[in-house]
Amino acid sequence: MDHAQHDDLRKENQSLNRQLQEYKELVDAIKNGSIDALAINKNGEPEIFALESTDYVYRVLVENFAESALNVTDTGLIVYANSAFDRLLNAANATLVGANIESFLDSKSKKAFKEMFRASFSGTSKGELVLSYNGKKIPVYVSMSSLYPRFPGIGIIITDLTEKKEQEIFTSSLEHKISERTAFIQQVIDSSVEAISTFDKDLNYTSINKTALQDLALSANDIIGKNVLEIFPHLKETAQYQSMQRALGGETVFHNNIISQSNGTVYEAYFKPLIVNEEITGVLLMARDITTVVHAKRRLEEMNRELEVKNTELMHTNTELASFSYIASHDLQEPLRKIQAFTGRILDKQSDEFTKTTKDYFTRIIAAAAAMQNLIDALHAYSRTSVLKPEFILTDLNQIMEDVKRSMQEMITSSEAVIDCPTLPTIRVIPLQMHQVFSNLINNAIKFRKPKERPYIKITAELISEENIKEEVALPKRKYWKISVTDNGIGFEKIYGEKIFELFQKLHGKDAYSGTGIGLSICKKIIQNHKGLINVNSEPGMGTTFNIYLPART
Amino acid sequence: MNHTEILLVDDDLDDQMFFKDVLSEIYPEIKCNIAGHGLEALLYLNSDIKFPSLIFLDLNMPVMNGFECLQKLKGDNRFKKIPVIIISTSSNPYDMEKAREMGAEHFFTKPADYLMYKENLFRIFKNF
Amino acid sequence: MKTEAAVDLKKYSFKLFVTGMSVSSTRAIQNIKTICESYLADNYSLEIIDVHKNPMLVQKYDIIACPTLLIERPEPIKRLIGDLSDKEKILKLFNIKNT
Repeated sequence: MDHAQHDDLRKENQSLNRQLQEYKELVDAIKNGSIDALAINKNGEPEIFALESTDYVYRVLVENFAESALNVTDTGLIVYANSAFDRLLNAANATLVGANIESFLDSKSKKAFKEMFRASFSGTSKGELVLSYNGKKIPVYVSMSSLYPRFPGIGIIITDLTEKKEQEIFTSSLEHKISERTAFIQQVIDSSVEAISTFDKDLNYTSINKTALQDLALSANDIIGKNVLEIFPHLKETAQYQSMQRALGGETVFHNNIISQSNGTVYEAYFKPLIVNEEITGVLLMARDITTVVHAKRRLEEMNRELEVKNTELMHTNTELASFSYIASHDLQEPLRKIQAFTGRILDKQSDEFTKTTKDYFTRIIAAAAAMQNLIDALHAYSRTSVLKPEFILTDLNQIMEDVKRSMQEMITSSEAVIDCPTLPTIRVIPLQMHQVFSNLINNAIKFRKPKERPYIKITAELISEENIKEEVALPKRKYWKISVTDNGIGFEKIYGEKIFELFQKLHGKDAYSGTGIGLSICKKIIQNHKGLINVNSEPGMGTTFNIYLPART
Repeated sequence: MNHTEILLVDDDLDDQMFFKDVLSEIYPEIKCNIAGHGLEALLYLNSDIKFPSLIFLDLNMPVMNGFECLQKLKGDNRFKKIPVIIISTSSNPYDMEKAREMGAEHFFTKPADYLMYKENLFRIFKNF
Repeated sequence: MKTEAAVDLKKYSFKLFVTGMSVSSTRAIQNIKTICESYLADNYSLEIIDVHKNPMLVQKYDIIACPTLLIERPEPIKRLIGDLSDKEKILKLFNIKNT
């Protein structure tokens, strides 16, 4: 090798080494970040590329967007996707870049996407689409902008509408619920028997229910928004109009008798202030048709009045009838007694001069007169229990019994009856009526005595509690005095028990025992007056017991 | 007690006659004077006569009834010691009680039966 | 996501380092996709890495410019800088004859 050649080679080697060193330094410098820009020859023209890129700010902004930002080629190939898109699809960025955007579209959105994508080539396009990835559907709003001619592709911004859609669904369901609820309330209000209407502060109709419309025979369109005086001019001077004004002042006013001018219907109505947020916004009117009630009440009052008049008339009649029977029975007695007295005397004095037939006839006249006498006496007594005003007096029954014995002295003496009477209680009674009861019972005991046996009448009195009385009493939970009158007379069959208290009920034939059949019904009536009970126990041939139950003093 | 003269005050002529007849059957010796009503009885007693030893007084009478007459009799010192027997068709306990309170000695219900009438009257005369 | 193990099974394995928003990177992505789909069928794995998002990988793989295609298989490891528009050269590096 010649020296010159060797020298050249060495020189070239040195130059290459230097060049390599320079490149190494350049590369190191670039890698170290100590270079700001690169000068690049492009088509023979120098172009400066800044390394510390000026689009750094935009890059950071785009990367940290809440919305997804994509760069795609004209075939839909994704060349850039920011982190929001990773989050939207929940995928690694490296698997998204390089994929075609179409593969992330829901099948139903593909056609719409293609149209939007095509449209974006000549500017921008927007619309709602649905993405689908790993089985998850994501509603999105997509905005596309052409980046031509500076950049061969399309910029896409995607907004997640999931929340918005959920909100929409929620809102619409809420609206649905509200409208359902409103319809329900409206139905309830419409079904109300009350006529309901509302007014604003100027007393213009704001709402009205079906019942009110039916009552007024108008449609809602005729009324809503109109002033109450426009619909009902005659109201102006009425108390109802004043009540509406008072309701506007915060008062609740009640009318119990509003009569409709058009058809005479009667209403009762409330005028109430409508209060929203503690402020009076209008008037609520609730009116109820009470025509039938009022008419019924009026009719009832009329009937009551009629009844009262009739009652008074009846009382008069009763009183007149009672006093008539009292007077009649009293006056009837007189001539009858005389017939008896005179015929009795004739029979006694002159019967020896009579033929057998005449004597028999006289006996029959006397018997008939006696029967009539009994009837009149009983009628007299019965009418007296009705006429006299019952006056309850605290009375010693022993005294009553003494009086009875005295007034019956003749009968007792002639029958040789023995009355065994212990101490009787002092209770509130109508003295004359109790006198009647005792005298009727003793009279009965003597009247129905066994022939050829001395009548023995035993009276007992004991205080018992109400539970020990078999029959139902008028005053429960009270103590009662049980007064029993027992005789040793002929008695009667059990089956007649209640019957003997009925008016004109006689158990025995006319001939055997005299009696009118009124006495015991008087007793029953009197005991009823005293809120007590009377019953009887008897057996033929074994005597009879009358039990009187009278309420004791409380 | 021995009775020689009594007074019957009754407006009913039949009753007057009957009373007298029955009385004369039991006590033919007793003289029975008669007044038609209360006022007549008082007028009779105030005239100058011998006082009766018993007065039988009906209640229902015109001009002056039995109760008024009884009140006057018992309110007058001259007459109040004469026993008064009320004779009445009524056996109304109220009337009986009232008469007793006003000072009547006895209450005699006129029985319809002749024999009982006679017996009762007999007993009254025995007791007074 | 594909696992590393699955990636290993492929005959061809590439990593493309791009800036994503540049024209050259866009072309590089388009070109490599076309080549892969045309010649390699399913027999490749391609990872496109945005250097702005993964600065650590830049250091790891000693990348000095973008776009750079790092050919991990077939071995030996080779690097190719540029927009990958020279299809013949690339196929040669892949040991594939263009027919």
